[in-house]
Amino acid sequence: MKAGAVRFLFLAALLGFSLVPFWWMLVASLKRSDDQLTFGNPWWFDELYTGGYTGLFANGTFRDWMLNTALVLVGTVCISLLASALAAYALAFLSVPYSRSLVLVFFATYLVPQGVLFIPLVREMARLHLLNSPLALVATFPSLVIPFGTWVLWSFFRSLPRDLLDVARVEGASPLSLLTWLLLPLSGPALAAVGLFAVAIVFNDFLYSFTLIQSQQQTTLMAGIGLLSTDLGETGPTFAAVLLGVAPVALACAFFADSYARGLGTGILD
Amino acid sequence: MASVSYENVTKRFAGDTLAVNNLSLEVKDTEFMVLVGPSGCGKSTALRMLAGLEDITEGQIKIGDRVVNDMPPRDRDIAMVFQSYALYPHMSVYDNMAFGLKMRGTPRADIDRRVNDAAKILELGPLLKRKPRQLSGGQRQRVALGRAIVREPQVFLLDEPLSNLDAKLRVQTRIELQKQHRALHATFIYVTHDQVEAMTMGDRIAVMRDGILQQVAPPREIYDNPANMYVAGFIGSPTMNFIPVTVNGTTAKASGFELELPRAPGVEKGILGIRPEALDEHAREGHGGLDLKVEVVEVLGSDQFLYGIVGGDAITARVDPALKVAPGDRVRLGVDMRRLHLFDTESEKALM
Ligand SMILES: Nc1ncnc2c1ncn2[C@@H]1O[C@H](COP(=O)(O)OP(=O)(O)O)[C@@H](O)[C@H]1O
Ligand SMILES: [Mg+2]
Repeated sequence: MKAGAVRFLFLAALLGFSLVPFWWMLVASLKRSDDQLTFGNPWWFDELYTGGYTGLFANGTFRDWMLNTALVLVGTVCISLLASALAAYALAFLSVPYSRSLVLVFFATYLVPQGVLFIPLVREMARLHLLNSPLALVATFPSLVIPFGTWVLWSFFRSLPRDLLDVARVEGASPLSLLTWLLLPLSGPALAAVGLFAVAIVFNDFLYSFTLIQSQQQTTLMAGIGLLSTDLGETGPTFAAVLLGVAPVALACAFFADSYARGLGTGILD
Repeated sequence: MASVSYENVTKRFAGDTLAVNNLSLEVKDTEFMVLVGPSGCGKSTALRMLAGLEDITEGQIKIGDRVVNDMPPRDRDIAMVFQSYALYPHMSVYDNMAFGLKMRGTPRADIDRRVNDAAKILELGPLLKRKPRQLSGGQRQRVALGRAIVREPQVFLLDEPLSNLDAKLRVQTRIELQKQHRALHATFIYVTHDQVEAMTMGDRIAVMRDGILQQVAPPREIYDNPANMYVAGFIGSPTMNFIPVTVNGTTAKASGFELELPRAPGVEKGILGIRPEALDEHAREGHGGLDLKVEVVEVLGSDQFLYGIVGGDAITARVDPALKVAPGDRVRLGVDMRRLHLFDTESEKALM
């Protein structure tokens, strides 16, 4: 009983600690811009001012940022999951020579500093006429997700009982139906882990959005906030935008943390 | 309907494990063939090559008169039941059984009829909507069997399908499987490490050891005329007594007794094989009997086994359960002379 209480208090303290920044952002986003720079209670508002939000949504550019971000997010997640699943399937079940080492090589690509990749990437996007389009990000982000995704799904697939796949093959399943009927339905936690990783890549990025897209109109929420924050006169909308930018990731993490851990667990144990 | 033949089939795994070594075996159409041997002797590998789940290193396998070496599993018209049952955990019992038919594009109405028929035979009707994790071990086993039956394949491959059941259910299911075999008119190849399953179920038994086929014969024949010491020792429980003897004409002399063999084996020494059930408390003609110094007594109701020493050799005998024996007693045993075996000391092959 006593241990339970200590545990509860400890977890409650942790929870409070991690919610503080969100609360502070919420409060800040509901204050008038002028109030931000005056001294006062930073944890509470004197009046509920929603101008920051209404201002943001009235702003067509902000709506574009949201739509661009949604496009980049959906594109990245879909392409990454599809490519990772197919690659993992091939590496796990088809006779690919040196498949084990290949997975490690893919993974090792994370060791290449992003700065090195940068200039060739920009040139490539220019040649594809994708500079200044969110599609440049849809083409770029999956390359950051797929090596990790392939590794996670590969080790998850390999942890599934071999008999299960064997029996399905004898029953007449083709490689594609094996993937759609058996592997993917059983890989929920691993897919969630990869999806969450993709969400984090998209929402953590500033560098790529900022450089691949110069046009304010075409950029994403994250790079857009960067543009906003340089204008200190408009702190209310900035905080509102930050909160709206962070909330989806925070919520996704909160709900999928369990699957994330399970999806990764098999990989680490492998 | 289909026969199955292995022709000089060898399987070598990476790392130079010779899992199956030059196996030649003919399984007749609608036969119940049991592959038996200790764990690791290559039974599963032999079965998996037939199913198309492992490549064949050398030799060829035929189903009917088609060579199937390079045929994908789905085209071989076989069904397989695994020891782990390998039920799809995210599908209902119905979907588990329907999966193979669905993959082959069988019309829905047909699938429905066949699944329901199989469910009726196996008494799975009330369970069709459940998920595998909501089933007992015995029920899962029946679903695995049902999944094979609905496909109406030519050949059933069963890899230790009863090993995860408790003893009583295992006996029931054994009988059930034999009934199914008769009803289905299909060829069954059944893998087990359990010699009782092999003896009770097989039309013929193939005994394997270290990837090498030792003997193929009907159960009676394997029991009565084992080809070598290994088969003799593997089949039958408790295991056959092996007693080193020196032979002089027809006289075999062990450390603690002498026997007159029915004929001269033409060797100077050998290993005498006597099953515990060929040794009992009745005196017999032709020898002076064995003087057993009893160490352990096992009463099983229908049988009584005595474990002890004759001269310098450990001996097991099956005697009348009514006989009162205690450890330390001496019991005079007679040998059923029609059931003697003699093996060559070097090659371990049967001489008589
Ligand atoms: N995929 C594999 N890779 C390497 N060796 C294997 C593989 N499968 C089986 N073996 C080896 O082949 C031998 C026979 O195995 P198996 O056919 O499973 O035996 P059984 O079914 O009779 O217990 C064993 O020594 C086993 O370790
Ligand atoms: Mg096995």
